[in-house]
Amino acid sequence: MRRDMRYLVAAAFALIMGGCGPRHTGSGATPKTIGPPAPAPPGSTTMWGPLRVEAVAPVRSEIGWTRDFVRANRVVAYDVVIAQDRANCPDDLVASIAKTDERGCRGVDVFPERCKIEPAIRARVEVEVVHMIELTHKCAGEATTYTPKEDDPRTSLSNAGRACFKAKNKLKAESTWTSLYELTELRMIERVDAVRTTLPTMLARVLDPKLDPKPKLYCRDDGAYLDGTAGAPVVAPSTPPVALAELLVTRAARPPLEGDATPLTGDAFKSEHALWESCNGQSAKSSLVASERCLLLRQLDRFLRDVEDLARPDTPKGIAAPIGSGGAP
Amino acid sequence: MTREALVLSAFLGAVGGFGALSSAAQTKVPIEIWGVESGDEVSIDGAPVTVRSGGSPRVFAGDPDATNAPVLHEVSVGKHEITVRRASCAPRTFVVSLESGSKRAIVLEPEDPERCALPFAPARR
Repeated sequence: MRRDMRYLVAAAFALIMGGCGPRHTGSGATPKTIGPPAPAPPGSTTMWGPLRVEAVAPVRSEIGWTRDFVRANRVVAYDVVIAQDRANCPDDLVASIAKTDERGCRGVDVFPERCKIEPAIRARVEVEVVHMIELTHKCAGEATTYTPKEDDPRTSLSNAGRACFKAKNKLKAESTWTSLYELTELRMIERVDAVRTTLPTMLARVLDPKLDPKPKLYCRDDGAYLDGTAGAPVVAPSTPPVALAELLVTRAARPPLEGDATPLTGDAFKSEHALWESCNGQSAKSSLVASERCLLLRQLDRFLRDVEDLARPDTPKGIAAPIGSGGAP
Repeated sequence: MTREALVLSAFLGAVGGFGALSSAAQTKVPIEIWGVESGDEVSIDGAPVTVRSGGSPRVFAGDPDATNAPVLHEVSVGKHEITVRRASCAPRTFVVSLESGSKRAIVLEPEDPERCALPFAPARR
């Protein structure tokens, strides 16, 4: 029954959600570019204020298997809006107000009234957080897990599933056979695997709330101010810290695409059937993250259905399966 | 090398090349893109793709067999560059990496019209 109902439920959900999609119309504004500062008037110098975060928002999410039914990844992209003030300050004032950050960029923490302040520069920086999802399979009641072949996980998982189905049902009447959905147990673990951005150090600094008092940063990782003007020598790029993912989630303006446990298993194994059922709960339907994880589970579910068909003698697939590889338990 | 050997090697090379092309053509992987709005333009590796609009709502629901995604396009395994152009927003380009034969689902989140018009940080000059 549940197999027949899933598509009806999905279709109904799609119809219900159709009216909820937050859509907007454009403001009509032309996308702007950030130019270099205009030449400072004689007797004054262009100075930059500290970099600061204005907003963090998820903009994109994607999911798919990287190794069928064994490993997947979920990539969430965020926009981080960075702002920086820019002003022309009298030369006689600059020496007393300018500071130098750890990169060697000069800046001013608070512009005095004598500086002519321009509208703040605002720019977006995209950050991608890569979550690795790993699935371990085993036959219910068994201690050992399946060992999928690196180059062909589908075939080895199919063989292991059929062997499980046959072993667990061989002494039962056909009417009491346990389905492969119940017999397949899964452990689904997800963790942040990598963070991708071109400006990791700057973002880690401006996003971290624990840095108090926060040392001011005037330049990006490449030694340039936000408008691209060079302020210090270029240094070798660093690898973004995984901890940056947590900082993004903390600062995200709306419910982040993280932290939803549905329908993961933690360290314990759960039957595929139980996980599938959890995908039909309301919490799973209202969460994009859960919907994405459930996409993986539903793909796996279809695969298991095909494997069980191979293992059953009364299906066309089972009849066609090679002797000894499927058929009746 | 004799003329016959040259002809044979050329023939085998052509067959091998054809076989490789056929094999590559068979490993197409679907990409679904959800959250695309009416009027959005999407290109994959520089080539525009069809954006379906109108009719029933097209909302991502985790369906493994969905065929009503606003964008459904098949590409080869590997990395592909996707660009989304939306009125009043700065174009956004990103790379997806396809490593298995299963489809990849991409969901674009609704963007704040004011924020999406902001440029990306320019290169150092």
